Amino acid sequence: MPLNETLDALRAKMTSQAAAAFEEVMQRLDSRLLADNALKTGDVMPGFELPNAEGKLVSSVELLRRGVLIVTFYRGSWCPYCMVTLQALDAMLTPVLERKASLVALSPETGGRAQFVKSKYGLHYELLADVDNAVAAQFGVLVRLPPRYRRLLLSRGIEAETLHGGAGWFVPVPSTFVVAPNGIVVHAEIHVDFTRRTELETLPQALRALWQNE
Amino acid sequence: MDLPQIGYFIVLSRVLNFTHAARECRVTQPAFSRSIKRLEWELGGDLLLRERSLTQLTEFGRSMLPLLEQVKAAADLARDEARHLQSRDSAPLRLGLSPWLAFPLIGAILSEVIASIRSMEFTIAVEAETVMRERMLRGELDVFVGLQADTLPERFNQWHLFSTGASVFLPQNHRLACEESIISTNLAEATLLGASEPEALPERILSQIARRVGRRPSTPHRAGNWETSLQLVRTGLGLGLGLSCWPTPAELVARALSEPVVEYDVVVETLAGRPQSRAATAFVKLARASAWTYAPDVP
Repeated sequence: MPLNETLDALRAKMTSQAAAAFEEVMQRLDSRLLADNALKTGDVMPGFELPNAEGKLVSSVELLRRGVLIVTFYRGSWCPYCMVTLQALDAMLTPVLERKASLVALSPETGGRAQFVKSKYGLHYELLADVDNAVAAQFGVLVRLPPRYRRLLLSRGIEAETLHGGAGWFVPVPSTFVVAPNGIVVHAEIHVDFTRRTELETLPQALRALWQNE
Repeated sequence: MDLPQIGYFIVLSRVLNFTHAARECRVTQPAFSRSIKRLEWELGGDLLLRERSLTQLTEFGRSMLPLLEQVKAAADLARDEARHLQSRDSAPLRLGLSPWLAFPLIGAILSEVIASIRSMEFTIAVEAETVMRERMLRGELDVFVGLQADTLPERFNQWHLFSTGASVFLPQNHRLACEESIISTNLAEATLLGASEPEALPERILSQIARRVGRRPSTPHRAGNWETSLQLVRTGLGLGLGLSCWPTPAELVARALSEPVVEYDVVVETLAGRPQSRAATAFVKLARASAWTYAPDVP
């Protein structure tokens, strides 16, 4: 089933409280402004060095040395849409990635949550802790969750301070960037609507296009 | 939101004048004002009170400022770090570790920093926690890992790593070794090990026990750190009071102190606004991202 159909099925199960909070996100976050702020095709990706799920430091320099890099931002282990997407990415990309490419998924969660997500869903790629959203801010995909949405999360015991080690309720907008080995962004997708994601077929296509040009 | 926007707001919060702030940021005033308006929209509230001759931060602006400063500082640090990813410049890490935290706790993180940053120059200090916080303020240490203090100087950044309970460390053949856990009244007649510093961890645990049993148990012997404390238990000088996350030597057993229930927060601290080396930044990031074996409730 295409990823967005699975996500639609999840969205159909939203409670009325969650639906109202979702509407607030859609009103508050301006997709045009976000697209303006974020890295675009042709931009140079800012370098990074972040801890992975196994407690090792992973640097973008090393990843790009291996080949094409796909960087995807997810909101956190509490987001069911993100969890479905991470699993779908694993199924779709693991066979493709063996050929000179890497995929990394970043979220601001600390305290071993990357390890928890990786082992719970048996993911084969790197999950990195974007501590204090340092990389999301440089990619221009950082937003603050609006008040109703924050209240919804709090009512479910989801609290920014515990998850991120900071109280700001800043999270990345779900987004995916394909970066050529020279560090140039060749494909960028940003989803203000967190119930929609990059349709996965576009990623192997982008990779194949890059490999053909090598 | 983007980094220039955040930077504009931080400058404006300092100079409190749109014209001067725009000049300092080298943008036209209309572009500057638009950017601030956009940030207000994205954050969901007015950051500034605009009056004819006076610009002031609103309460919302005051609450957002430290959070945005943190994002900006983290991004600046990451950018700086990225520039040095391939450099061989020396990267000092001057770490302070509480004498009541076992070194093996941070061993894996330290190994990873050493493996990733070949040019790291490591110094470790193990002294009383109050002394080390003073040394942080004097710029002699970059990072401190210790127990959360009741009050912390304003300039400190502090992040919670994990919480841990207290345990009693005793010889395997001690009569209390057969208990699953230990309560204060079990310890009323025992000889316990105190600490040479009045604010140190064993003394904090002792005062909790004393409150329950109505008097302080006998503590003729005192140790200055966790390792010495366990050595004294081995030599039969008394029962040790420590953290459940300490490694237990083969000839001793650890029994959780189940009443009173005490919990200690282990934190990592840096000094706000102080530039950090790549090694110090990496250490803090790894510590904060870590699952910590002793954190049972993740996530």
